[in-house]
Amino acid sequence: MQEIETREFGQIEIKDDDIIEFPKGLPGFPEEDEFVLLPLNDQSPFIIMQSVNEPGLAFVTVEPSTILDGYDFELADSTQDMLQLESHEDVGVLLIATIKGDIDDITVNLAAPVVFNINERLGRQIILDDENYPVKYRLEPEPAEEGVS
Amino acid sequence: MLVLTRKKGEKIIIDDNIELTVVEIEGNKVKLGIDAPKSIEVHREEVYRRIEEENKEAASSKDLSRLGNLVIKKEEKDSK
Repeated sequence: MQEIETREFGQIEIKDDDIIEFPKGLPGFPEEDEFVLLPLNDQSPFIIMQSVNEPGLAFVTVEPSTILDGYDFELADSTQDMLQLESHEDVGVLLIATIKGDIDDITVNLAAPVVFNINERLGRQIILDDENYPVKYRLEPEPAEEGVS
Repeated sequence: MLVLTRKKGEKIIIDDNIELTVVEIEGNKVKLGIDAPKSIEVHREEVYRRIEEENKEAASSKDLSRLGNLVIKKEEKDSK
């Protein structure tokens, strides 16, 4: 167990097993090699990907299946090797969201999914370079119905 | 920066196992062939920079207090 400082949830306690290693960091953040995934809340589809070592660094992420159908791509050998992937059952995928000033202005980066080996706790953001998958895919969120918090 | 002059068909070797070949030169375009171990990732610069930029923008997504109350309308991804 260790305590870490987070951007959205203040100080929290995490287990060593919660930490996902990103041996190469992320594009733009090459030094950030450890993250934890923290659901925003019980109802929300959003998951906060919080840097373990940099309290101010957190990404809003979402599972592809919650925002669109038919999102698929082939994993390069280099990615499979780096993530030590042996079976597709070990693969997890999250997409990074960008939220501008207005909370309803949300886009999701389909061009660069974060791919995980769930068992080995390894992650890497890959770049697809596929014109069907834009960097800014707009979401059309709606407020939850009255009474649902 | 190291600058080397190459003709069509000539190569550059980087670090024993990366081979860069000038495949074709046409006007202001150069076609390059890259032979590298599969652990080496190769991207067009502008594509990689675009992802770096988007990550930085994504990291400054703040004021998430209302985010937890949003539901997402799912759309079929139409294959264009």
